[in-house]
Amino acid sequence: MLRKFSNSRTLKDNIQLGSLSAFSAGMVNVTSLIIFFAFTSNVTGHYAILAEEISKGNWYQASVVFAWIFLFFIGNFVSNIIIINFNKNNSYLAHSAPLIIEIICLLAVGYYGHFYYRETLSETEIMVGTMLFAMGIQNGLTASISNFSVKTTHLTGLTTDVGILTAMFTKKKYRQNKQLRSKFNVLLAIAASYLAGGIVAGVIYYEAKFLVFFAVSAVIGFIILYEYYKLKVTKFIRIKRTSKLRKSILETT
Amino acid sequence: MNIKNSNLIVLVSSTLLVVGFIISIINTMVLVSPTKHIEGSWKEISWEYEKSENINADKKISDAIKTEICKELIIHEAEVWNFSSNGNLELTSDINNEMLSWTMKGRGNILELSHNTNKIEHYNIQVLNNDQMVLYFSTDIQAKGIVKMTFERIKEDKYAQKI
Repeated sequence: MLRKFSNSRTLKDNIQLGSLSAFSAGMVNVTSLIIFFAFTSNVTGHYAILAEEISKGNWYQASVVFAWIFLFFIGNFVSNIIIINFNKNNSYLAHSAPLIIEIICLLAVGYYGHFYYRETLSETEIMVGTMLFAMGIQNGLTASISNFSVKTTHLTGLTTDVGILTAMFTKKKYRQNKQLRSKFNVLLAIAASYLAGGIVAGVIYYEAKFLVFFAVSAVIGFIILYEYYKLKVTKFIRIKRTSKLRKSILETT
Repeated sequence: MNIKNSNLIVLVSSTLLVVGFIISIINTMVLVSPTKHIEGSWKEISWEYEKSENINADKKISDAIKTEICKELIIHEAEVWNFSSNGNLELTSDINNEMLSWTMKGRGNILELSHNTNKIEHYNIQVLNNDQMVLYFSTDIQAKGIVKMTFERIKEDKYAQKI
C-alpha cells in the first residue's frame, strides 16, 4: 500500500490506501467542522471565502484564510520533498515519514484541545491551520505515490470523475474496459470511506470530544504498521525461499 | 516557453506565496481581530427575515413573532448586548438582565453563545465593523427562514451616560 510507487501499484494497493486515508480525512474534516466551524480537508471553499473576505475588505479574515491555504500547500510540499529525496534509499520510510508527521500534528491538536483549549479564536485559527497542514501532507503523499489516481481529500475532482465514468459506462466498450472499471472502484471506495469516516467521527466526537483525533491517528498508524508487517512477512518469505533454494542446490551438487 | 522562463515563473510564484504567508501572519498580529472588534455595547436596531420559505411573507418581523422566536433562544428579548473581553455577554432590557458567555469560531465568522444551563447557540456574523453588526440565524418559528438581526454600536460615552 505504501511501498509501491506510481505505475507499479495494483488496484488493491490503491483501494487500500485510498479507503484508509479517505476514512481518516473524512474524520478530520467532520470533527473540525463540528468544533471549529471550518473545513480542513478541502480548500476549494477556502479560495471562495478568501475572495469573499477580500471583496468585503475584511483583511484580518482574508489573512487567516490565506495562511490556511498556504499551510495546505506547504503540507503537500513537505510530503513530496520527503518522497523525492528519500524514495530511492528506502521507499517504505519515505512514504511513512509524511504520515508520521501527520500523526504528530493530529495528536498535538487532540492533546491541546482535550487539556488546554479555552475556545479562543486564535487557538481555533492555529488548530485549523495545523489540521490543514496535516491534510496537505496526506493528500500530497497519496496523490504522489499513486500517480495522481488517489486523492483522498479532493472530493470535487472525485465526484467529477465518477460523473464522467458513469456517462462513459452507458457505452458497452467502456464498460468492458478493465482499467476504467478499476478506476471507478477506487473512486467509489474513496467516496464511501470518506463519508463513513465523517459519520464515525461525528458519533465519536459527541462521546469523546477531542479524543477523536487519537482515533484518527490510530487509523493512520494502522496504515504504517500494516505496511511494516507486510514488509516483514515478505522479507521472511523471501529469506525462507532463498534458503530452501540454496539447500536444494547443495543437495543436488 | 523555455527552461529559463519556467524557472523564473516557479521562483517568482514561490516567492510570492512565501511573502503572502508572511504578510498574512503579520496581518493577524497587527490588524484588529474580530474578537476585539465585537467588544463593547451594541443596540438592537431591527429584526427581519433575510430568507424565508414563504415568498410573499413580509420581511419585517413583528414584535409578536420576535417574542415567539426568542422563547426558543437563549438571547431572549434584549435591547442592548454588552460584550466583555473576559468572554461575558450581558443582555440588557427594560425588564431584566441576563449573563451569557461568548466566543468566536471559524475565521471569526461564527458567534457562539452559551448559557450556564449548557445551552449553546451559534450565530453567523455577516457584518462587523466600527458602527454596525449583523447576525444571521435560522429559525423554525412560523415561517422557517433566516433571521437577520442588525445592531448599532453604542459609543462608550453614550453608554456610560445611559447607565
